[in-house]
Amino acid sequence: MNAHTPDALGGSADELAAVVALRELADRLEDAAVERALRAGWSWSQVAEALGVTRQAVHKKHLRRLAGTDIDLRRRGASIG
Amino acid sequence: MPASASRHQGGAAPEQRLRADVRGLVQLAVVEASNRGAAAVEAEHLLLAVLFDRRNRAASTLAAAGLDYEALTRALATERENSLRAAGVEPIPAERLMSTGHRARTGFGTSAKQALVAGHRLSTSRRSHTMGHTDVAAGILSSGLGTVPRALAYAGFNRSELLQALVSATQEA
Repeated sequence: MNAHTPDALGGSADELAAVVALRELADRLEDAAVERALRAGWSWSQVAEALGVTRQAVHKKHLRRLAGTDIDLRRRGASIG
Repeated sequence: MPASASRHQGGAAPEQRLRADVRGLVQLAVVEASNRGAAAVEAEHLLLAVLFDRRNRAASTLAAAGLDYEALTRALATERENSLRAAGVEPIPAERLMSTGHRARTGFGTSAKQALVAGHRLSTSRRSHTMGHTDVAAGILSSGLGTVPRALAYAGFNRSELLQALVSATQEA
């Protein structure tokens, strides 16, 4: 451990905290945006394409979370492959 | 021999190696993280869990200094808003961040693991074989950088004084 700990606020501490806050915000935005897109009728493939990731990646991250909701995910089964 | 808390890294959830009351605390922290849409349990979720159950000695010690669950919740919100502004990002309306359901698995972030390691170290330093709420809380507050110390600083709390009060509480116990 360093003998001198920098201040928790200001300067580099603020810049690094902004990174933490932005990562968290991006995660929460993704959860909300994926759900809204699916409710608006987007397929998993379309959501994946728009996010620039594979369909499998979107599934892994969101399928179980949304399976218990009122969104009809089965109708999109044809595109799941 | 107590298992080295540092072995939490990447393994099973830490609660599997904790005594019963701290296991409940860690489970509550998972709920706090999940409810807030967090991808991982971090030190702030552990501290929220400590403060949620007001009956434990750590919560009453911190509450006596003005830090209760509501105060920490406000302080954390302020910290996030200010940190986003540091990157030029204005707060996003809550309704745009609303999502249903919880992540299937909420992992443990480094800040939470390190807080538990520090708490464990504190409990062994006073020759206790068990880590309690006060040790966990002191472990969280022993870190001088990151979300929790920033939130406390913005809200006007003196982290060192809070930490000292917790250490005194463990010695009285």
